[in-house]
Amino acid sequence: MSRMVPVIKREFTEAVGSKAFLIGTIVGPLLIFGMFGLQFLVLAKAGGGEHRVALLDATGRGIGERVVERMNEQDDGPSFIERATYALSVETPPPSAKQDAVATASGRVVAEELDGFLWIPPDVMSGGTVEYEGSNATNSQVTNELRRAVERVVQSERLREEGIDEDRLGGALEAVPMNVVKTGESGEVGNPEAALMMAFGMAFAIYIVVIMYGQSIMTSVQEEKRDRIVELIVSSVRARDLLVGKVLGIGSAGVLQMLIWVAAAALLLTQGALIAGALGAGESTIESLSGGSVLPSVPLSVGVAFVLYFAGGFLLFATLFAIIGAIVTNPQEAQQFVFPVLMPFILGLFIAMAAAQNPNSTVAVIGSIVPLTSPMVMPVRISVGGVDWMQMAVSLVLLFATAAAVIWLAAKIYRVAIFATGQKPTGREIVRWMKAA
Amino acid sequence: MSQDTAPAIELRGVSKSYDTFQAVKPLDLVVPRGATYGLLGPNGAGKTTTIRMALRIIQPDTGDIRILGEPLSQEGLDRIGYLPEERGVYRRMKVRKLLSFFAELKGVSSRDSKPRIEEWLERMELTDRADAKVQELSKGMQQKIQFIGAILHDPEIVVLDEPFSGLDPINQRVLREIVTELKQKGRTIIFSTHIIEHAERICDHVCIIARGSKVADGTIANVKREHGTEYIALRLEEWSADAAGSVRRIGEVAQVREHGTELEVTLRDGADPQALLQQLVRGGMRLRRFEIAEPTLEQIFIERVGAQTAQAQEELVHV
Repeated sequence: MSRMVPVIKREFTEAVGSKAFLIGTIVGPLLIFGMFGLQFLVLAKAGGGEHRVALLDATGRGIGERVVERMNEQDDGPSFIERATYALSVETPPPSAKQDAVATASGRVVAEELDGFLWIPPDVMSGGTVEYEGSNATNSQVTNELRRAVERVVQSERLREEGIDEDRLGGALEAVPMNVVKTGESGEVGNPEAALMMAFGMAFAIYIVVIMYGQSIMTSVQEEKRDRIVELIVSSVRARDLLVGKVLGIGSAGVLQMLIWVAAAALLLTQGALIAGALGAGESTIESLSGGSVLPSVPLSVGVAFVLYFAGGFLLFATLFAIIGAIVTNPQEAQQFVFPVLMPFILGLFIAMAAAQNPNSTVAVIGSIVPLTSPMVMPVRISVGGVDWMQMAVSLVLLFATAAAVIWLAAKIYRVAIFATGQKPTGREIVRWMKAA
Repeated sequence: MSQDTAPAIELRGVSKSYDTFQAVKPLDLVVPRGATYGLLGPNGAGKTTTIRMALRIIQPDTGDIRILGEPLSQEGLDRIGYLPEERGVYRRMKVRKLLSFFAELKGVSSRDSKPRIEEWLERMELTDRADAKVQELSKGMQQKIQFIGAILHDPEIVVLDEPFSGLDPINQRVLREIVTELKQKGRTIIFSTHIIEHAERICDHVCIIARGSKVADGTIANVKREHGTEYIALRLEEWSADAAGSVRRIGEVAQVREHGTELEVTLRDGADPQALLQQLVRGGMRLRRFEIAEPTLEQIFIERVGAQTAQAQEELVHV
């Protein structure tokens, strides 16, 4: 055991000191920040700017003017993205002259005098279709705001015709706010979006670290074998200790990198307003970010479960990768072994996504108990909905028992395989190695 | 046996098979403390497998292994320094860090190993390369670094598997000097080689292994006495086609090997060398040299192992 320490130390410092780690650590947060910044550059400007829209009102009853009024009242409060502004004009073509009116307006759009126009048909009160045409027709912010305004105006007109007092209309049509919360195990409530986001974050974190660092363990084992280092090492350290030390050392480097990323993301979430300001975002954006985003608070039980599943899952998969590194003779060969190992892993990620929607479905329950998928699925189930303690205990015991069994097996294979440098072993030979060691 | 006098390494009935191939047949081997012990044998004789078993690298099928009187343990292994035949180092590590890691594997903290590393680097003339990555060094330098790694923790037993292969003559001499120093300090040195002259020059004990079995074992003097027969070295004044033939016809002679004017004559059991000399002189043979010679290790090796064994073993995959 004590000789595992220098192995862990060496693997950790070599991994952390490598260029790949440095680049990954810097590029990771840069990507996070970059995507954040890019959102402002793209989204903030997407809906923004002034939109010149003509309202062709053929109803003859002032719907157009009412829409303009409504548009000016419309305000959803501070928004993440910059609001569009409008230069609206109303025209009242005769109901029969639709073709001419539309053709003229269309011509003005082509000539860039207008960005778009809205045709309000004479029968709009009885179900006629409103039409929008314009160079900005794909801007959903603009079309949505226009649609909402027209809808509201037409609806209130219809109600007024039914004899309902206009003054009371505003109150009657007031939007009903709905707040969605999730019931937890002991009845505590939480923000469902935050829980889901965190659950995905967890599954994804395991996925990234295993993919990146599992492969790096595989390469490292191959290197030791290729460069004939391993004989010297195992003359001082047991093969099992070398293997576990390697997994722990490289794994810790992975965890460290992830922590750096998480810290960067947390910084972004809490100090988003500041950063957005520095990136040149508009005032309303900064307002929406300050106090708007908070870190999802992680209940202790979920945190502990996540750490346990992360550790178990990493041990299990990293050891499988180490076995591959030990039995193959070159990187090309390794790839064909990597796929069967990754398959249950990717399957686990899919089940995890399904479990987020429906945490107690049969697939999710089974997926959260079977060791190869449980590291991804169970944390998601735990954070989304209550999991009974019995299931969790069974799942954890199975996971760690499997990891221990795989480590034991790997040590046996390792001892023999690291000295076999000739041809690719057959399945039967690998079985023989397990017996021989 | 008290621990202080127990042999450095003791193998009893140790064997190892791979499938149907028996790499090491049940083998008894005792390396006395303070000995410089040569493990000789052709390629594939089982030398490396034997060493690996003694160092817990591979598990023997049968037998008992003791180090300094104790069964194999981490403590025992910490007192051994090992230079494997297959040289390997972490190529991307810096020299100092690598050496410090080697020391830590043997239980020496990096603080304690630091001054020793500097000392050895100086001695091996590698100080200016101490912060270079190992892969930037020449092969000979890498070997020296690995050798430092093997003795850095000042082990009581040093196991060197084919230590001279790949070293130039200058570095071979440096290595020999260090081995001699270690010997003077009372360390036990075991080294395996298939080059007999190296063993003869350095060792006081030898063990010859062939095809997984021991064929000779003991101090060099004993091995020579037990396994070698004295022979008569003759040098003729003039070579003639018939000379060897006429020597062969003398009654006392069992065998004659010719090397030009040099003849190696083996006598029949109990025959008197003086009688041979008389016969030769009487036969009118003119001699430049007549010497009763000790057998060399090489002769014993070739005799005991057999040239064809060496060849057959050479073709086997080295496991």
